[in-house]
Amino acid sequence: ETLRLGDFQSTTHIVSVEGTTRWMKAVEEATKGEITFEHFPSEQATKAAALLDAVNHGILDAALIGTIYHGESLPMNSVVGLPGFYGSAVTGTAALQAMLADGPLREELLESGVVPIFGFVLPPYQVLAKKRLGGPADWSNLNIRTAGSTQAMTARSLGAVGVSIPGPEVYTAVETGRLDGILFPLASVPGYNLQEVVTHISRNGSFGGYSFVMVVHRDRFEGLPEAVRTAMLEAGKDVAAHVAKAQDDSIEDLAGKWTGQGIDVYEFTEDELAAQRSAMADVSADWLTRIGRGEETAKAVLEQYRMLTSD
Amino acid sequence: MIAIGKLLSRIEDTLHYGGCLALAAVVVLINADILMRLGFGRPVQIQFEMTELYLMPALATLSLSRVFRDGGHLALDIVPEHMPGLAGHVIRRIRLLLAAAFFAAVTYMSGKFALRAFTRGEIEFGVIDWPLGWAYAAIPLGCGVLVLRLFYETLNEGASNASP
Amino acid sequence: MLSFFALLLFLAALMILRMPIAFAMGIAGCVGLAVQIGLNPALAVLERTFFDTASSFVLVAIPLFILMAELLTAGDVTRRAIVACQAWVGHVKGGLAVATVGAAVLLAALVGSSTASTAAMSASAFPEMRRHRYDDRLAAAVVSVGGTLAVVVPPSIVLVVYGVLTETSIGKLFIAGVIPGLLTAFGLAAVIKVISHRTDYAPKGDPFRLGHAMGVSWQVLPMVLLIMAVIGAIYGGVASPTEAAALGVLGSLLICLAQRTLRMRALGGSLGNAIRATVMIVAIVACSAIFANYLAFTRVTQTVLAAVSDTDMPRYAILMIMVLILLVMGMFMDQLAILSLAMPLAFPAAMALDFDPVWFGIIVTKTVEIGLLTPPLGLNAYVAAAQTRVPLRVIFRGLLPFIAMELVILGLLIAFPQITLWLPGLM
Ligand code: NA
Ligand code: NA
Repeated sequence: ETLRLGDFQSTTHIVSVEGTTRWMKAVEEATKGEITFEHFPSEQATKAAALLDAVNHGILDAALIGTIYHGESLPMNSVVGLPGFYGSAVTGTAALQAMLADGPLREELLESGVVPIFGFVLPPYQVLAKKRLGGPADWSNLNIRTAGSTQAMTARSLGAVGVSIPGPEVYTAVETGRLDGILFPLASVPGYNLQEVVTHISRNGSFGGYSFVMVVHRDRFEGLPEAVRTAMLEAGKDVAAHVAKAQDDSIEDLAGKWTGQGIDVYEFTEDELAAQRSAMADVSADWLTRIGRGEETAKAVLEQYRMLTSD
Repeated sequence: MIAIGKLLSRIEDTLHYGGCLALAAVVVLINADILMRLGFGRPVQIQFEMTELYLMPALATLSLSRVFRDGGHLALDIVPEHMPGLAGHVIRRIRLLLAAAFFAAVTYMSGKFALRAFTRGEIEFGVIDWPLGWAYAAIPLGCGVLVLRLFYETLNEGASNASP
Repeated sequence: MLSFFALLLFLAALMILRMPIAFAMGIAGCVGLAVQIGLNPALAVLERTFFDTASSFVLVAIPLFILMAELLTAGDVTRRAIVACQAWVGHVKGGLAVATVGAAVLLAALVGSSTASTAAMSASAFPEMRRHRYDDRLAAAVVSVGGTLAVVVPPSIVLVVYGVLTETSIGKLFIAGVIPGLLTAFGLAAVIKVISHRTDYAPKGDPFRLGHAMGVSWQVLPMVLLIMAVIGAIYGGVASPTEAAALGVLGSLLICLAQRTLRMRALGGSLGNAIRATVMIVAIVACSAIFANYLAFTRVTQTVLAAVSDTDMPRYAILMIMVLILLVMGMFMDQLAILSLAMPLAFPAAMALDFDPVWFGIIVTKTVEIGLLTPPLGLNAYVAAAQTRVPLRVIFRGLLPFIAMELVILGLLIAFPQITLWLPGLM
């Protein structure tokens, strides 16, 4: 049986190489070719924001969705976007996997017609800029590129201005100084070659997270033989842990490479981190009232997430 | 028939002015953002989301039908525009009906999509809470009027020179 | 495979029987999807294709640049600038068309999308060429082909998308585009010169008079100042390229107000024209996205590219076939859709053959840009036709010698990689 799987990364992106592609191969091997995949990378099948709908309507059988694009259907999943929580992809992924196994994050995915197979996170967003940004005082009135409302709020909570600029224009905007800095996942920096236009990159900040979930159409999944479903979930477990570790490692490598190119890859001091965390606490509070509507479920989700991500 | 034609044209013109206003709003918003940023260090935060969610879809689709009426949806011109005789007549009708069927499908599907957003009260959590139904509504509106225009032209085939 | 060719025939029939190109792509794509993945999923694709296409901040540059050009034309700014240019180059046959190519280079440093650039020039340079009795065949072709310079000269949306899809240095791609862009401009100028000498498409103007030329030169000033201000806003970090387009509209409006040359009515007309072109463009892009979707699900591109890269032909033969495939795709699809469909296979194949990623990026970009000029779906020609009301077939015929030159330049870039790689090598 052949499953159509769509995602929005290019096939060279680490998330595709160590995550999506690796999982498809593992499933194909574990089922001895009983299941094969047709892969539609880089939004070939549909735009990133439409992937969940595409699986729902049977345009695709499976997709690696970025939950941030589906805030409306998956409000609880957006908890991962909050700043100040996980410190590495490994920690964040372990927390996400636990929450996808059982609880509101899983429930809302099932409700929207898909089964979560596995999930993982990007390493926490860092700040890239043309000067060293530390405590909130350094951020005052800077134009920081952010993606989505949570990040914009993060920038604002630090005293900066959250600027929305589409992906294709970020490089030029940083180069010319339209942007003073960017919040970005380090793994995606090479794709946009942003290291060419900044001089300082933080590496132990936590300016928000990002989660991916591999989903399969619910009826389609339930129609698969038991052995196949188990194989998918087992492979998912391994791949989630693997891609998390691979991303953390690649950041080590990238940091080394960038330092060699004369970029200041720096660590915040404990004081700076504490000051940032206390400023960014507003963002979680806002999430609770706006997206969580102050409900008990949201409070519980936030509490559980806090517990799972603290070391 | 003439009255219907006039009414249709009036609807198209109204939507077209809506599209023009949306473009004017984009110009004002982006410039306000730049000038406020330069002058007072205070950007117009809603600018980006407003443009991307509402103004672009509106300015790109509200005038679909008016542009069709003006012959603005171009076609290859290998064969002459007015093929003579019955064959030419039949081809023009089939062409209009096929296009009508396609846009009826687009209207129905995108309309259902917008309706769902309205009934579920879907919101994009941006700088402010943006109701998504209004963002999606421009598409079925623009395409729906185009369907009416295509049917009108089918019925009126021969009487008007606006057929594609 | 059989159903694929049947569908292509269906599409061809729709196009030949004068179905508007956007509608034809949408209908054929929809029918194809229904065959490929089923009727209900195919219909579901329609649910949000138009919204997802239109809801794009980058796209807003298109109506903004058209509006800017429309205002400059309505406010007599373009005409005065052209009068000044004409005083210097008018005595040369085809001088004004060559000056338009020069303006296209300037515009390219401002715009990252060739559609936006073509639209802007169709609204500004074309009417002036027509006024000076240039034949439509030449004038409309020049604005169509001149627009393609916008994606080779930085900033460029196509180069960025290539860079992100393949993790190639965007900075190097930008710099690498400069010389091929200038080379293209010279090539186009050469074609104009040849056409001007062989035909009567380009009239000869009045003899050159230095006094007159000096006297009217200042008229070019408002236009040059405006373009410099907008480029300055981008490179000075005041605005992103898209935001700068809105700044350009404001600037044009201010110039017109200062000259008291713009009536309220003309302002409305400019808005209407910008909307008209944008609606047509977005309809084409959205509908060709449906068709691209169908093409993705057939996996034809993947099958063919995989078959090609598996052969043991010489590496340049494989490259030529890949370029050919991209050219064919360019007949039916949007450039960004082509990149997303073809690059996942073509790029690794090119790397395995030891080609340079930056050079390959420029080759690919040049190739998909040629697709904007070739029928049946050559978006730039459609944009020019919509704005200038010159019949499409006239534009496509006028484009032939320019496409030939584009192919020659592509050949030069392939044969001599150092043309492309010299500048980035200095970095
Ligand atoms: Na450019
Ligand atoms: Na083409």
